[in-house]
Amino acid sequence: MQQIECVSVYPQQRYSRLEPKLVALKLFLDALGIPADIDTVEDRKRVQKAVYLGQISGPNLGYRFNWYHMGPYSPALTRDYYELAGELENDPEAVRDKSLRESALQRLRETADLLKPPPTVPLDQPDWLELLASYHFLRQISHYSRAKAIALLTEQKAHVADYVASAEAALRAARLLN
Amino acid sequence: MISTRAFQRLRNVKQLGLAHMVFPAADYSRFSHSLGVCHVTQRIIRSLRRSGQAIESDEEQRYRLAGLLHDIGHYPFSHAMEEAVHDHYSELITVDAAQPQEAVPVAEEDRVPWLNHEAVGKEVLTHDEELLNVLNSAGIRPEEIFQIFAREQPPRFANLISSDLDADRIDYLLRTAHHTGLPYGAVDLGYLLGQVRVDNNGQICIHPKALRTADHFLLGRYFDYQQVAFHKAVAAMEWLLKEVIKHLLSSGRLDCSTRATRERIAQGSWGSVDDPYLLGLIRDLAVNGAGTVKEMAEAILYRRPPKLLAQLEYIDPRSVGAGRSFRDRRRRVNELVGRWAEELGLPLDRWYVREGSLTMTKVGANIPISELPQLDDDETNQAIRVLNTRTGASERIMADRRSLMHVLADRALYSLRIYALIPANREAELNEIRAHVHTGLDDDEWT
Repeated sequence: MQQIECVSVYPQQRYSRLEPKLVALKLFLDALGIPADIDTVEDRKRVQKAVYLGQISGPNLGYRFNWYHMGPYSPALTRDYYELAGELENDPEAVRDKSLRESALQRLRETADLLKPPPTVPLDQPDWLELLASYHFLRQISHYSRAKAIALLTEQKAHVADYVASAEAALRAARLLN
Repeated sequence: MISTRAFQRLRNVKQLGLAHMVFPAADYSRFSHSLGVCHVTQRIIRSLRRSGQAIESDEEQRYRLAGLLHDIGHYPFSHAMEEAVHDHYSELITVDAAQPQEAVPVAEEDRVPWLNHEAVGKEVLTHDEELLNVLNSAGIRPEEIFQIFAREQPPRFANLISSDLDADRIDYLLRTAHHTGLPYGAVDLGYLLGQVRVDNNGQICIHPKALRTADHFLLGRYFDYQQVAFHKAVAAMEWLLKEVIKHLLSSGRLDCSTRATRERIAQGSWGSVDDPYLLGLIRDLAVNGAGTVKEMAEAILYRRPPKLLAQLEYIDPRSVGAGRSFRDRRRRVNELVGRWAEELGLPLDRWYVREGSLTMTKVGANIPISELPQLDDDETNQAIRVLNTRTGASERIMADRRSLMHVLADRALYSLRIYALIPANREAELNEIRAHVHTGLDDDEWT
């Protein structure tokens, strides 16, 4: 009978709780220039929307986003970034020996510029990301027309809706909108 | 729809994973659960209609279908498998920082290396020929259904699908109580569903008359999770399962890539990817494998869970300080495990430190309730909402001072458990091993 060689693919020199998915998440955020801070609502919004946008063009970490009050949101990502925050509190350098594959890094670096609010848009980064991610989701995932997406944003996100045109232009420049 | 192969597959996907290893009758399937969610969804919709909401019959039908099909994409052994798949594909995109590498272009279809169960569900709905034929014959487009359960469009009744009081959770609680024999499902469901309303912002909420029933529901769910999902043996068996699945993935005996999943769906073979399929692979590993993973496979098949060596559980406020204190204890344990592994001659891959926190509400264990009034994010908005009959608005249940959740939602059960998979030839040493572990734990709260 054939013996199947079993080699531990996860060798451990010490007991480590940092799961591979959390390593990947931290490296992903680092490549986008997004801090893994989650102390405030705005911090958490920044992380949520940055992962959504990063996954569009970059490596997809497997987080699925649904439409919620603040736009695209992933409950699984919420669980993971809280866990990651706890791990980083214990060891801020927990992923120092790891890197994303170069192909993934390249794509994320290209996306990183998109995440900075343009000089002409007086929004802070979390709000800018909320606008980008929400508009993209409504157009590409919900398949809303431009008019319908703008109408919804105007109704539900008045704090950012004035800058939809800038968001659309930025997404097109990044080739993230069909 | 129920007769399709994709749906019939759910007869062979257990809802509770390996819980039947402890509660023998807790082996109900996602098939029966999905029927239940469809039914509860209908009851909620009809309750909303009686309260004055205009809901056309075709909209009701789409919500019912969304409830029926919400689990169609679940992997075998659901959560353990999905976690293992997530970890496996995360490993594939990370490398050692010191390792030189070239940028190898990734094909667009491989850029999404794996699909979570919702994404698989969407694939099944849009590419399973048999299922599509059924939808087409009823004049329903698949996107009308997964847009509801996957929230791909701003839904009309958002928290019908995902909240502390959604149809999924309601059926889960009642069905699990029935099959485990535990009493925590004795909630007055009929009354609760009859008091569902919609506030003036379109959010589903309950009439304040049902506040006590809602409290009872949340308490029941807390105790159910504690006794079933968090049961010491169930949790240990789920860890074994996850480790074995990770091995099957890394050794290439199991392929859960996006490409492979899509091929199965397109070829009509997704219907065979169920619990017996995975158990077949595990059985093969138990017979033909070697080393720790062979033992793990045997432990799953013959119910030999890892031994609980020590446990720390306590209820504490959900505060930043309490969280930090808990993580300090966990970090200390991680350091000790490395030492014990060497001292006891039990390799690290046999050890499992399980941490968990269990709260009353879906609002995570991470936000101090004292922050709640300042929070309006998507996590907190999933809590049960209570209607203010005077204003027509609703508020989260933990903000209502009449509710037990106002007090209890501010607490969490923190749990640390240390397990080890003891080789058969060393089981006689169990008490000594436990004693050795407890000697190293300088905290009287450990049991």
